[in-house]
Amino acid sequence: MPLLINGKLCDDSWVSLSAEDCAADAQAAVKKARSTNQPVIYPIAAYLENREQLSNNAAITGLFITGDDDWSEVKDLFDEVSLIAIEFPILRDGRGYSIARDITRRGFGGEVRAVGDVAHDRLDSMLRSGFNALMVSEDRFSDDTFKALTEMTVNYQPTHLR
Amino acid sequence: MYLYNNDDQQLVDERVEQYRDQTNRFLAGTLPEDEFLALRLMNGLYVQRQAPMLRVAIPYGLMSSVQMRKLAQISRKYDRNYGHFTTRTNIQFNWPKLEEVPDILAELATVQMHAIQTSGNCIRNTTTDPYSGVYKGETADPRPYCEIIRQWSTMHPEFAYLPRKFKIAVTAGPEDRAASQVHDIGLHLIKNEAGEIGFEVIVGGGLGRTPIIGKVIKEFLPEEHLRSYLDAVLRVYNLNGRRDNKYKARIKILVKAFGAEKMAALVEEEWLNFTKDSDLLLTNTEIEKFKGYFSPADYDTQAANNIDLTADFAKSDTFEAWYKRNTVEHKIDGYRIVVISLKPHLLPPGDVTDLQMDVIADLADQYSFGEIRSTHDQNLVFADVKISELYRLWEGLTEANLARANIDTLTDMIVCPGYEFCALANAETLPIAEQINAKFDDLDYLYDLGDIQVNMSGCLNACGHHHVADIGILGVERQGESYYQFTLGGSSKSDAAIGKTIGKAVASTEVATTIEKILHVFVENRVEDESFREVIKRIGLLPFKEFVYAASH
Repeated sequence: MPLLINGKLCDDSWVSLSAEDCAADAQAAVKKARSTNQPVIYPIAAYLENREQLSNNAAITGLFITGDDDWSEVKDLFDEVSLIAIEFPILRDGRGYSIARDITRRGFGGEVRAVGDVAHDRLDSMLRSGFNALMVSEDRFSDDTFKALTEMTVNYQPTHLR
Repeated sequence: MYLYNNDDQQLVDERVEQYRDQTNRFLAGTLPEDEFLALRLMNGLYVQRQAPMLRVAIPYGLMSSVQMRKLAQISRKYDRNYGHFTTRTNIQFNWPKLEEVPDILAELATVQMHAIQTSGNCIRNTTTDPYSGVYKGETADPRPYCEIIRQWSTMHPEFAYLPRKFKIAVTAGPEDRAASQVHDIGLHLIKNEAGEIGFEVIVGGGLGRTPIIGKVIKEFLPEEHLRSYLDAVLRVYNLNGRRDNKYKARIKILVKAFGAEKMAALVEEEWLNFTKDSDLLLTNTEIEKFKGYFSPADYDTQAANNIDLTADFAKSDTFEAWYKRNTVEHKIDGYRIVVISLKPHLLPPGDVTDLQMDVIADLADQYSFGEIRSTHDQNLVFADVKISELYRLWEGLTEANLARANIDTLTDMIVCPGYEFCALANAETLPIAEQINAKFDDLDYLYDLGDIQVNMSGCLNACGHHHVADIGILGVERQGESYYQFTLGGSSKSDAAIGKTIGKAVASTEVATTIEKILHVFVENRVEDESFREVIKRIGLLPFKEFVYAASH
């Protein structure tokens, strides 16, 4: 899927371990994912269960958070990961904006990636809430998408974060 | 009033083009319908039963004569020569074409207006007391704080997809003319013992299916923390509010589930840890700058001289009645606050024609420094009129059918547009309002009854605020027929209360006669000049129930 970072299309070196992948045997799934040097995004629950095994290489470790996850302790993991992906399950679920805001202001300096229902008309809000990487839905991506980054050049909210 | 600087103007202009692009992508089929729905709602555009409806924001109900003329012009060019003022002090146009909305927005932008966040699950227009800045006894003028809230909440990146809509009202006491206690957040400007200005913060009030009076979560919030504290409340709500059921998604349900104490603690934690001393903190210079936008009008120091109301009253009893009912004491000697009734006989409450809008704009220029305010109960206000010029203003208003002397009487009803204009409504409201008007057309009788608030909603969503009226009327539908349920004893004022149902709904033909019965009980039990509210508080609902539902009279 198209990944926008700093207004440019970028290659995505990360793969994701889904909750389904972990459903049967999370430990085995995590072990398999970790067996190569491939950077992997782990569901936060699976990460926490296998934290000992995963906490030693932030460069290839990422977290996946949904609004339904308990992410209150995620700040303790900032040094162990270099990417946090936050899910927008549907357009109307705006929790992800506040989650991004929260983790960035708590000092997470890695990649904060918006995933899920991510498209044109939300990109500006996402960037202003603390995201720095946008995984745009494949079917919603076009050359037009780049326009979203320059439509609004003024706003009332203090430019927090980056 | 607040005037746009270059950044404000650029924001609104860019927003127009952004919305134009969204409309074009929708019409071209590249923007999915459900997504455009969310986007157009955030720009005030509904698709109703007969046509789209565009709601234009009037921030805290304050507008200029120039803006009013533009609204008139828009209603002529793009609509059917009228507009409708709402309880959020906004104005709605009922017949715009979806494709033309970007052009309407562009026209609005030329007079510093927009439709941003007039619908959708975001922070809506902030409302306040229509007498702000001009009545005796207010703690401070709420409008600078309203403008601070307007700017902070406009296109806030985090709060565009809240669990549900979010409404804020600010008042400065002691009377509440903005229904602040039935808002998601009600802010009361108060002074602490040291004489410093701040806010009592109330959260979780609301109407709709679950009417609730808000709870105090902060007894004194210093003014410089207004923005930082609101930001904290909204974040706690955005992260914790329910999203599984839209009828349980308002902050009132969250506050009810948590309890006021836990809600206060969560907000406090967020506020103390993150937002309190962030760049959301207002500096004294900033606050003073905002206050400067609302400096007092250039009042005539001689205004109190040369007043001869007795002579004016001698000319016309109708003028005298209008003076008593539709004008209010002003803090400056020689001036009055004038309420323009948008509740004429037998016409829809809150509606104004294009010609009336033009007249209002002209009269505002002549008599009230070119400013107009819209009120929570769907009327308009000229805030600064010289007493010596009241008679001429009244003549001008009378000519335009805008001088019905019925403010705060039975026929000064809050009424939602109902079935004809709203896709959510189950029952008609406008024909019922007409029925009530026809029955109670004797103004002397209405004056004798005193202040009575009658509110009517066409469905459970309660846009007509029926829960907080002396007499509330709710339209319900049963097997294709409309019935009307009565609640009594509600109030949106400082003694806020949710009205209680008195019995089964009555047929549409019996609404006015039911009111007549209720009034009969009131008059029979009234001691001296007691108001309807005082009688209800004293005798309760039982005598009303018994009489209204008695087998025969």
